[in-house]
Amino acid sequence: MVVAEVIQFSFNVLFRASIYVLVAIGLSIIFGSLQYVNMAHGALYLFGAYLGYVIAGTNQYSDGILAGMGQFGLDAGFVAALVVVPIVVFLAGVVMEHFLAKPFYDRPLLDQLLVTFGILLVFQEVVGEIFGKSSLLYPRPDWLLGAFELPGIGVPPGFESVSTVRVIAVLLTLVLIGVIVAFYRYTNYGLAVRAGTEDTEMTRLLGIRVDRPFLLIFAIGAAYAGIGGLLGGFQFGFSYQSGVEIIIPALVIVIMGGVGSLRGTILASLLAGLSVAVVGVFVPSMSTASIYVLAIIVLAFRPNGLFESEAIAQ
Amino acid sequence: MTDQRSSSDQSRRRYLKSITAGGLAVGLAGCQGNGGGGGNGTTAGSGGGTSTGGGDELVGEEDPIGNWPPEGDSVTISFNGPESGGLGPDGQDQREGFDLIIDHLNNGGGLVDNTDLLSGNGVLGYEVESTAYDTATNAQTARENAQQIINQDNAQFWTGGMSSTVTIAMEEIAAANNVPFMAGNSTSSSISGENCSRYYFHPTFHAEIIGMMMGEAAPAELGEDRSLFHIYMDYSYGQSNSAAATKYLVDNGPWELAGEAPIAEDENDHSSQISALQESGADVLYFSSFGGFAASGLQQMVDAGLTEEIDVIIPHVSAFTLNPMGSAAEGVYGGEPWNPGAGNEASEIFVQAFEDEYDATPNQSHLHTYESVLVYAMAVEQAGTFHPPTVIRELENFEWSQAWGDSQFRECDHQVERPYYFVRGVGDDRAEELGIRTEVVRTTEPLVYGCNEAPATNCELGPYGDE
Repeated sequence: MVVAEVIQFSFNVLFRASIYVLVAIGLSIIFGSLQYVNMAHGALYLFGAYLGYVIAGTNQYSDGILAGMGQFGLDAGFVAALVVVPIVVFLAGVVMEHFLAKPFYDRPLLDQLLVTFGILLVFQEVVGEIFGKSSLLYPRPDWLLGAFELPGIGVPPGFESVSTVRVIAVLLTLVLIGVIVAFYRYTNYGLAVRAGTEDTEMTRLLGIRVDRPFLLIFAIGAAYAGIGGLLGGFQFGFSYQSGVEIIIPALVIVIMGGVGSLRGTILASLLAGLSVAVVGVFVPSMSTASIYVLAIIVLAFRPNGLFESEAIAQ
Repeated sequence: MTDQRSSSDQSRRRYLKSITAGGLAVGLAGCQGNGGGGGNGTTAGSGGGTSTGGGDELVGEEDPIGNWPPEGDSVTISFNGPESGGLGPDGQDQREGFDLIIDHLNNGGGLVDNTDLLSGNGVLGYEVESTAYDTATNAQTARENAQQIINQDNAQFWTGGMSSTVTIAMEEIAAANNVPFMAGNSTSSSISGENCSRYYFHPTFHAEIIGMMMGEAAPAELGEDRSLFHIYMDYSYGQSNSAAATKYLVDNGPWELAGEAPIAEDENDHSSQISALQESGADVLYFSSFGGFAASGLQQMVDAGLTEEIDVIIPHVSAFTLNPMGSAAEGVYGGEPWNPGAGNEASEIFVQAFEDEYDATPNQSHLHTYESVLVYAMAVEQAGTFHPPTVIRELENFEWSQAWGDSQFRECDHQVERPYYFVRGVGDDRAEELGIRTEVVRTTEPLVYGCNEAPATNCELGPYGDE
């Protein structure tokens, strides 16, 4: 019984940490490598949640422009959403990098912050007008209901209270973390990004074109945020305000972990997930606020975050 | 957009009126000595002779108070509800009910034709104008809107609200500005308890009465040998609802208490609470949540296969809580202050009028706003004036019987006494048939606790303002 409780609690923490990681990872890399703070990253989470909703099911909207259109959606299922969302949001990341990020790379941090946050708010309102301002819940296919089961084995011992979607999200996040670490360590593009982050000018002088690797890493970060939106939206529901709701804690996690540090972002996400879960049991009203308290404590002792990052992907 | 435009147009008209009226006041009387603000100047001017309306003018010894007397030949009634934010869907429904009653007050129809007090030609001969604002489910926005309603729109009355925090904030503003307010579907007991206000009337149940209702209906429906667990939102709404349910179902009822787990107000992740519920061994969950949060929490319980073993009761259930769940809402119990299947004649009239206008089945939020404004208008006609203290005295023992059933406000705390509905969520086919995702299981007698019991004993209504 105790084992089951520990496993259940662990997956509660890991699921929340996974959503934080998926959003914060792109934010951190872009912040660390391009010195670009992109609050509009929250719009990509939102985009992923709504896009997945439209792909996965067909739904009647209670308000917004779509309310008058009857049932709307592709009804292609959750797996289709899981495949299509990262691809489309990746492309959205390319567009965002070209039109929103690039013109602001050399601008002061405050300019970037204000402009990108403003764009996030505008995007949210547009989404609210189109899809309505009500909270939405994904339709649940039968195979995603109930406890996690292994084919041919059934529910593993201790997993009786661990829902399938949590396990999928945690495993998928582990895979995606592996992919991005491999990208950095074992590809020329990753090497170029690392070099460009160390010293962009010197890297260019050496004849290495860093624009394209930067664009690629921006778009990968976007795709991750889109997947975060899909999984977070599926599990908890979502609304047009979900972008702001996720980007603020994500930014705090990035700073707490050490800007640009993958290891720091992952550890900070785990600490934030643990903090929310534990505090949520004892002082529920402080559960989200506990992330900020945690950040204050961490930054008091380590002003540059858990892992001060000279080189990214550490 | 339309709301803001209509509001600003009206403000512009009032500004022009106030210049004219102010000029008249200065030129002819010049001695009201009360022109400290735009609102006061306007009011004094209208009293001085610009009013051409139904005759609710400064007469006798009454002093101007709040936005009384009304100027010109129209009065304003406003709406300040949550058309966006967490309670957006309910607020949008409230707004439809509000627009419908304004139309009926001016042009007849619906329940306006179901009472001898109203003519369908405005109220006291005044055409009813309206303004509408979105609280965004936020107390600060609600406060700012309410100040605009009072100071710029010169409203005689407003309705809306929803979240208890928002309603309590507006109760204070109503009393401070002597403009009556009636809102709703807010279910913190403190609304007609420690936060009660002379200028606010609570026309529906709140946690204490929902507890009474559950004590009467739930064991009768679900059996007496049950074990109860609470998951509640950790603020006044959730705390007061879970406490009242324990009082009437456990302390004074047959059920056992298995435990409780609070959840933060804005939190969607119910995993910790669901774990605690599973460990408790309870077979009934009292889930004091609402809207998208409740739907999300219920969905997570369905994901975990819990709802097959545990009966779930949501103290105040509504369409927008259950609709997002679709067929998973089937079998979820809850309390409603009204249901289109209420079964009384006035309800049938309202349902028909609503369907004629919107081609949809109304729910409690539609009616709530509709009947709140209706009752205020009836009391004004009965009193023969919009004069707030006089209308309040009229409402303090006002009895009426419309869609809510036999209803009466009481003097001690302005709480209504009326019947309520224990309902159950239905599956897709039945929902299509009913036009709503709940069906009535039991209807209670008119319910209220004694004036000598809490939370009424915590209520100090404050002055009328004309003493």
